[in-house]
Amino acid sequence: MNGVPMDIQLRNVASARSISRRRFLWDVARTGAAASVFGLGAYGQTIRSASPAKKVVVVTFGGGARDEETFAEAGQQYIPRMLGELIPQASFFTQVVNRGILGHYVANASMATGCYETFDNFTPVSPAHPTLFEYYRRDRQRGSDDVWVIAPSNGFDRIGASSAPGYGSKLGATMVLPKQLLGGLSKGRSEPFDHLLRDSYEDTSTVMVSDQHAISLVALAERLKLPADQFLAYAANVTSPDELSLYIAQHLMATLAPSLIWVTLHDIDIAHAGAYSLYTGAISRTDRICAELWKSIQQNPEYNGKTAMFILPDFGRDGDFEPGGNGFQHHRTGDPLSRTTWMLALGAGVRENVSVDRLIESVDLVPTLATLLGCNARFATGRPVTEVL
Amino acid sequence: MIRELSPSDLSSYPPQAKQFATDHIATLRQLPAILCALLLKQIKEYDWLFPAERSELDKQLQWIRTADHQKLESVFSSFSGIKVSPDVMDMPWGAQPGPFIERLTADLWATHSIDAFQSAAKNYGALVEADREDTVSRKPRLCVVFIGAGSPRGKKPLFEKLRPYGTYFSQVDMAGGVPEMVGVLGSIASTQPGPYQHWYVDGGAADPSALHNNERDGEICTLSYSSLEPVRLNVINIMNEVRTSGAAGPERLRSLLAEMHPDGDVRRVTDPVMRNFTFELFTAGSGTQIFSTTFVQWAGREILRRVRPQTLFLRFQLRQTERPMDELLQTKQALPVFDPVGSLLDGDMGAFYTWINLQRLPGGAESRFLACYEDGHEALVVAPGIPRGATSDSKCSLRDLLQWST
Repeated sequence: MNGVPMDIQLRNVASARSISRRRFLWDVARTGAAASVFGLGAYGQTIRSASPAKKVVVVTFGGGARDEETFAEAGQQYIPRMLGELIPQASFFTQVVNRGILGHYVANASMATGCYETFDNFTPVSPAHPTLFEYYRRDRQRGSDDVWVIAPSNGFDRIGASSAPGYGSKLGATMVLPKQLLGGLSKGRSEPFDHLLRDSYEDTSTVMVSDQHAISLVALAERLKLPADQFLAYAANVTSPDELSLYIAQHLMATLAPSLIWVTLHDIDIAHAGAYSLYTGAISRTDRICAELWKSIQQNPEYNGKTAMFILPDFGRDGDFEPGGNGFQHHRTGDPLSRTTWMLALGAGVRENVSVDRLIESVDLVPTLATLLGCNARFATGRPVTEVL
Repeated sequence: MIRELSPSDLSSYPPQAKQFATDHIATLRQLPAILCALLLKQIKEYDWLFPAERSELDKQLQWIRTADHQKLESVFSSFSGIKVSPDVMDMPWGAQPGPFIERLTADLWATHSIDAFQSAAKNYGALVEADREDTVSRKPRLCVVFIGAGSPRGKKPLFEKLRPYGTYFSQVDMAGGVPEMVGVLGSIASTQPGPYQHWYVDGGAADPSALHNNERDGEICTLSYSSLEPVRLNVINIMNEVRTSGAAGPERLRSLLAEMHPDGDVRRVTDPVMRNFTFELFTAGSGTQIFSTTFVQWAGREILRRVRPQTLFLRFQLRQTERPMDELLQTKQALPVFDPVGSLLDGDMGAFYTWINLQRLPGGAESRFLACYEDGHEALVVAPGIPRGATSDSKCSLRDLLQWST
């Protein structure tokens, strides 16, 4: 037996999901939006900002989010900001399929390289193929201050650069792990930040901040021009690690204004603990974070009108009726629902009020962004998404 | 060259497992290595399997012995055709099927063979299923789920996902619902006795009327989150040791937990099958160690999947709030703070999943299912003869619902 029947099933499910998502958008957005793109003729009827993007912000709607709790009809209650504020300004891709390994680190690394990486998800290794960050820095001769990755601490610390010959950390993104940063900066302080330093239920192993690393955290904070007191004061008033990531992203935009920011959100992965209300609560928080990030882009003259933002989950989660799984709790079966998600693109050069129904893959993101940013993702296996170019 | 299963592979198996595997070694040798290892993983647990699982294993092997050759070939070839890295196949899969399956799974994902494997496994499952009979009873099963004890009603509609499949009742008198359900369970157990056929799982302390049924007394198997506290804390201790050692990641932790069997912490439970099952609810269940709602949902799933009981009563109670994992995984904790709103939502989803798991069993379509909001007046009934997608605003009692669903 080969994978062909499964592939047909995957395509059928992805297509059904696409139709369901688009119908839903027609019903919910009520914008006359979601003008479906069936051919080039439809493009002329939609608004597209004149200038192409000079900067790119990518947000992975992290930790695996299903259709049922996002763009399916029952999910609308959890994403009010994306529906109300972002969708009317966006091109919405209704079928984004991830054919790779459904572990968060390896899936995010695959999205960053444009190739399906095959390493063990829980192993601390760099991606084998060059990342978008390396392509961009090498081809455009950009410094490390121009490319930043903000990621949850456990396991993601090597996502910024590959082990590919000719590439690597000298060309990689500058990594910020907000939880480690907070842990380092709050050493010796009396305020409790434990609630923000938690790690996911899936990987509960304790992350130690060594003294040496703490020093490099201080250096990083200086490079970020991060006022420690202000950061700690903010941290004392938020409830989740992803909100720290939002803060760092906003701060970066305000201070260094890099061309490429990649934010990996992860709160949603609390789903592994099996509490549905915590999972949906995290989705609503992520929805809010995405909207706030977009607002910051629009309010910042360095970004407004020059920036394209892409929001997509790394993958879904197991379907309710998949016998090998336990519904939303995990993403272990590899069933079509856990592989099928969506993508929002909005901002400079991106058509508004459009939904695109053709199937694309999560590895298509890198070649697309490479085209936008004027570099060559020469080893990526995905294909550029022409609808946003 | 793929190694062949040999009697020496079985030497470390527990006694009954060893005997069973030895008795069926000729049949097992016919199987592709991957399928054989999957079966051996289950056989190795034979000493702690429920009667329904033992019977299922027996039937599978019997089916393999007698099935149409062409049918068998089609299933076997789908397993044999899966590409697996040679170093994985070099593992002693017969002696250690558990670690082998773990390595195999990682390899299948890495080599993009997981879809082919899923497809082969589904094919095999469908063929076995077609041949399967309900081994214990053909009487319709009864499953009742109480949610929301201690939770305010809130504004979100309840049982939304279940409503298309049954009738929603808005004015149910739920007073005394828990002791009444325990009584119903007892009365069914007395007329339809059988080992492990009647279960009551409580997310807090079990109702006093059921306390004397701590294990299998009175033919009701009772599990409560409160009474299992020592087992839960023991597992948390193990998790903490591993996760703070820095020497093992989450996969190793899962492997360690999967390899474990209970010691004295479940000493009050004398039945080894129950003792092991209880332990596994915390070692194999994700989140069961920290959230009672997750425990109840997972226990319901595992009871239905493994035991296939005649009656099942699940009661979701309050779970603790989300806190840092470091705190949640402490054995010495301050008094828990509960999340009443979240607990109701968790229970609602848990009821839906329980119904799905009930439907998967043989005779699922004939089974009777009730979900009730314990602190209010709402319920949902799915049963043959009960209209789908309907609503009833008539006043009624829990007993009425049970009667109408019969």
